[in-house]
Amino acid sequence: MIGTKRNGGAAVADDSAGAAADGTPARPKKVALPPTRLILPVIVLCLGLSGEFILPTHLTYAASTALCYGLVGLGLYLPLAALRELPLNGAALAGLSAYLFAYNASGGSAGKTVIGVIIGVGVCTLVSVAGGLASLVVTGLYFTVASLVVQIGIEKVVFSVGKLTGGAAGRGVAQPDFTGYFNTNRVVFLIAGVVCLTITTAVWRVKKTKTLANWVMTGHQPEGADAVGIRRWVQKVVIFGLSGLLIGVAGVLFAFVNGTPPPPPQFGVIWSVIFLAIPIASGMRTSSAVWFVAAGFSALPIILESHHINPNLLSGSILLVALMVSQSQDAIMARIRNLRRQPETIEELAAAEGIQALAAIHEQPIKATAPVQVKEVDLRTKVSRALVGTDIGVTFGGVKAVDGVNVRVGPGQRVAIVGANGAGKTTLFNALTGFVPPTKGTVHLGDVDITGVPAYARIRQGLGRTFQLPRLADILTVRQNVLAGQAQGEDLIPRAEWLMERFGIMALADIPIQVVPFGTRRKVEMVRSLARRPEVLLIDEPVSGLEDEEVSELLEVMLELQAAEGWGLLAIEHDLRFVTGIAEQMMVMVDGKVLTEGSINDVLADERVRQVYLGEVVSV
Amino acid sequence: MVIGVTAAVFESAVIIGIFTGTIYAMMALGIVASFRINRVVNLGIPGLAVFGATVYFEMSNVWGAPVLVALLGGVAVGALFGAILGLCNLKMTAWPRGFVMIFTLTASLFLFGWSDKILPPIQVSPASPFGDSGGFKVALTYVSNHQIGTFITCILVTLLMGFVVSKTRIGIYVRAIYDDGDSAATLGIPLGYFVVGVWAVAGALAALAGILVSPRVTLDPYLILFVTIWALAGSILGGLESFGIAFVGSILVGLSQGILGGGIIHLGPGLENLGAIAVVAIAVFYAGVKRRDLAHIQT
Repeated sequence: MIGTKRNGGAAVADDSAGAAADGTPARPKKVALPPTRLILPVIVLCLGLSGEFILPTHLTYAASTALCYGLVGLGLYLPLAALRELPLNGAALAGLSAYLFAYNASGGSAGKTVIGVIIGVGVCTLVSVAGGLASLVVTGLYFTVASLVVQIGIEKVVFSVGKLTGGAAGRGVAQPDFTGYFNTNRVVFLIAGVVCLTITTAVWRVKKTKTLANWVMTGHQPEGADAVGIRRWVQKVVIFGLSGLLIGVAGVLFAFVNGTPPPPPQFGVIWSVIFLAIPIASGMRTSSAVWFVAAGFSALPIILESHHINPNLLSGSILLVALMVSQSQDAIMARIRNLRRQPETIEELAAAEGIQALAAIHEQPIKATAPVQVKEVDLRTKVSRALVGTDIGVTFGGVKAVDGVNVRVGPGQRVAIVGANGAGKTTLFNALTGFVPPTKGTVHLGDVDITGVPAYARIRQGLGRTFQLPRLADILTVRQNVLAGQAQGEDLIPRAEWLMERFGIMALADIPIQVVPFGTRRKVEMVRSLARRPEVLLIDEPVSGLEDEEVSELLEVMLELQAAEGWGLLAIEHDLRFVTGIAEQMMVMVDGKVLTEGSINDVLADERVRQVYLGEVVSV
Repeated sequence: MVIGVTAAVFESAVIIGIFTGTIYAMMALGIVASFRINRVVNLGIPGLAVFGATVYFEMSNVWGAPVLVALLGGVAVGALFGAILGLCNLKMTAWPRGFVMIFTLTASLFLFGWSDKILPPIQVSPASPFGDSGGFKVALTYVSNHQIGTFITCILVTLLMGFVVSKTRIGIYVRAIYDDGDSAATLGIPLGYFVVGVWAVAGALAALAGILVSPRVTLDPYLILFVTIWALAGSILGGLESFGIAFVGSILVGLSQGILGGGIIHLGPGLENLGAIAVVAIAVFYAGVKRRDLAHIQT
């Protein structure tokens, strides 16, 4: 069977669809972006063009300001959407950049202007990167408060010190001098527009690469990111660096558009919240939505200007609308969906509605596209090393979850660990793979001591693992989840595709994880671990949630692959059928200790093991 | 940088710091109260404080109501709006808590706006419930009855809240809901009533804080917003869970400002907040590392 073609056999897939008339399996048709997906970018582009050519001059200034808002919003969109962090310092960072730029460039030559831009954007980026590093230590609520501290620090300290930036408020920034229809305002808008368009295109391009999957995995499934060898700190530094860069450029634009940096209240904490509301209201889906919302935020005060609405009430209303819209988008999209032809396949739906709306269709049967032809993959034995855990102990408070356990998985060996819930099986896994630091003992991979090595580095050294509950990023597709964090090798994609096909999930490759069934998620995680070609694979309850037929298939595939490639396998499983089918050796754990171990037949013949399975008290 | 330390200067700086910290502590109590029920950082506190103080000002200064009646009126309005915010929270159980936090800030902005409309266009300071005159001098600093009254009120409220949470049945219910709302509901604890009730208490505390704070810092929404941010810093030292640590943390923030801005070390304009920011940063990192289990509550 190894190396042969096999059609996608996912339980949810409709394999009969789409095969060519001659019987050879065909690649699925590429799903084109439906025209509705282009509506928003086109509207945004039209808004931009109208700003340049149609709007009265005084409104082009407002349009330029909208571009600045949008750029800050886009900068905040990155950590918000990818990492799920709420930075409350966007305004202060933009202000910092604006003041540093004006301070250094004011009244000077082109050279001074360039230096001003570099200093303004550079400092802003560095501060943002520092925030990214801080988010490795403090996340969630505490990160938000930490970012608030940065906002207040800049607002209360830096803006107040004349020698730093306080003296820059009111300094003139050179603008191009034009008269006539294409006057200064229009040219300023044109320059700002080109800068924003360039940056948006760059962000859009980055989002199309594998980097996006690494970012999302870092923020949405940190343990999943570790399990595929992603250096999370690098991803965070990059995301926050990019965020700071965008906000820094926005700050420079604020000063340039205004002809001078706006006064400090324009960069106060309330503005940070308003800037944050831009990506929130956009639903964090597309960059064009961010621009659209920014345009709305800028237009609203102008439209309502004649009503003399209190600025606090106006800001509050804008925020409220942003929050309501962000939380009702799925319902709005569902209504729009009902107005037009229903997509017939899940891929069409994914392309048409975006991944968030798909949550609403969990109840619908998933109909996948045609079977897929994938390249042959040459499977061959690679030298693997043994994973050896010696005298492993893990203590939580006063509880010894694992107590002096020795475990060895040699190349080509298949070992199963069984035991009641709470016996310490998963904790042992976590200690071996670096997800929990052992309180005693050592872990070696071959001759290399990996005891103090972080989880992601152990994965890079040759371990692979899955989790009891699959650690997959819901908003990524099956394929993106599989390829996240994988080193770009020549044979990576063919191998990943071959594995997906072999595990029967190729037909679902471009489906968001959030709509695939639990059993399929297990397979995706398995494929993700195998795609890296581990030396030792650790799988935690791999068949729970799978149908009997799927268990048999999984068993077959795992045995074939393991026999062909020679890696070691350590499995935790309660299902004795799977255990006896896959393992040669077996360990039984009770209360953090090994009750017995040996060949599978010997262990199963032990009366104490039967007692463990019957839930009787057994002392070690 | 100038350093000049005499015993009198030091005492004065410490006294200024303690009373500044007391102002933050008053605000911090409301933040801790609302966080203790459903883990939402209540940024509606500054709005509730301003609006409560506005009602107090209108009742006492404009309508001529007795101070105690005006005080009760302001606190009652704070409780009412706090309860409304709590009701909104119940409707937002599916929202990420970070978004709910932003929603509470929205409420603050609305309350700021309405206060702007009610108050005269000039900055005003309502009369102190403890009287505008009277006091004594300690070292180089004049300590007013208002400051003493605020300090004592703050300690009493801290002790009361701590007692209620740790020693009473209501406190047990509140802690149960805080630990796991769904499980608490299965025990028959009326989740909705408690969330609304505790947010009402938080609103009342915020209004009381506003009434006691505004005679010192004027009834300016942005000044009170910053007071709240320093209060948030103080309360985060205890993971937003402990009234006592929030009180101590707020005093620490005030002390750092008193010492750096009040006479011992003159760093220059704008830099007096450095110490407070450092305290806040340390508090956030300490709490963030110690309480990683709360880290998931954002988007």
